[in-house]
Amino acid sequence: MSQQMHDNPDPAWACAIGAALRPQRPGTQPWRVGLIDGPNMSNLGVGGRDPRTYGLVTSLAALQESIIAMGQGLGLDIRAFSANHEGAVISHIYETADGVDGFLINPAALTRFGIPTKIAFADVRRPFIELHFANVAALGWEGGVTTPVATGVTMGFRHYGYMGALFGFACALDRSILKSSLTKVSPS
Amino acid sequence: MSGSEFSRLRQSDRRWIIEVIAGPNMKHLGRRDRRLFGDITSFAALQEKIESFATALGVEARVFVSDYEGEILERVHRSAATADAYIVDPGGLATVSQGWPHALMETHKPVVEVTFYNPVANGEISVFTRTAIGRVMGLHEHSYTAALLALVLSLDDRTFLHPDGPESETKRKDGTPYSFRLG
Repeated sequence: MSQQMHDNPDPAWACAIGAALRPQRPGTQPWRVGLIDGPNMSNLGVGGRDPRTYGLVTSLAALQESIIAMGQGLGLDIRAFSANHEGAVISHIYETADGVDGFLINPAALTRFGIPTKIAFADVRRPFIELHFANVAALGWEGGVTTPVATGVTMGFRHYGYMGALFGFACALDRSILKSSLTKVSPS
Repeated sequence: MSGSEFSRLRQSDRRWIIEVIAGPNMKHLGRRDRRLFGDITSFAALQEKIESFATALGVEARVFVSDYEGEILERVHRSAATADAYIVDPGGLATVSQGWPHALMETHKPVVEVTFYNPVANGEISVFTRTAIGRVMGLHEHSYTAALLALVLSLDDRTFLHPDGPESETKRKDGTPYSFRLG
């Protein structure tokens, strides 16, 4: 693969993928989805994140633009956000929850100890899917601290997990099956 | 449908053969707890959805469901030579099977674990996850289609799961990339 010749993933490609998948959705609502990337994800492609784990994604911005573009293809409204500060992630969840139908979050370095993030999700009661590039359970963790309150999880597919999760999340939102799934929540 | 449209966008023209195996209790979809499994009416409805979505992606899904672990082991053994990857829903064996994850490891093919609900929320520790390449859960039947989509895109990528891709990229039998191994 050519080095850094263009963004990987390519937003135009991701948009076309979304458009090709759009007829597979059970509904047509333009769901508003918040995409959140946690601490250190800004190192993707530019800051020494190991390509054997993270693949050849050229930057976090390229990833965010591609997910936004795939969302456009699917007929969704994606709002991307990332931060290296847990406080910023928490504020963002509370401040944007009323304006979105759900979240996709890669907790990244908040995976193991992000209890305030878990509590924020429990408080706002929006369905959310937890994303990981790698299979973190292979490390011996069953998931992260947010996993028990997550609606679902996609992990182990690098950035393709974001794409699979976005499509699956849209279908599940179309079927209105997620709103009731996130009722049993007790932050510890 | 947009099968050909999606196929044109793929990074590979391979028609991957993906074995989809669902374990005990799953064939009784429609009679299971709707809070966990939603309103899907039957396993046949799920199978039809998986197969048609696979066709739309330009790959082949071979769906198998059984309440008998022995039958599942023999299905894994028989399919090992032809399958490019597995998607498994362990069903009632998620926390207790020994033979099924071992049989999957011995295929040396990428394995994806899927579940309708989020087992971690119920305190269930799956014995399949550590040796899987990845996992999708909590989206009801859409866990299967999300997994299929992510898996096909991953298989298509020569730098990742592609069978002809560089072996050094991923230790598939350990189910996790090198840099996440702690010891």
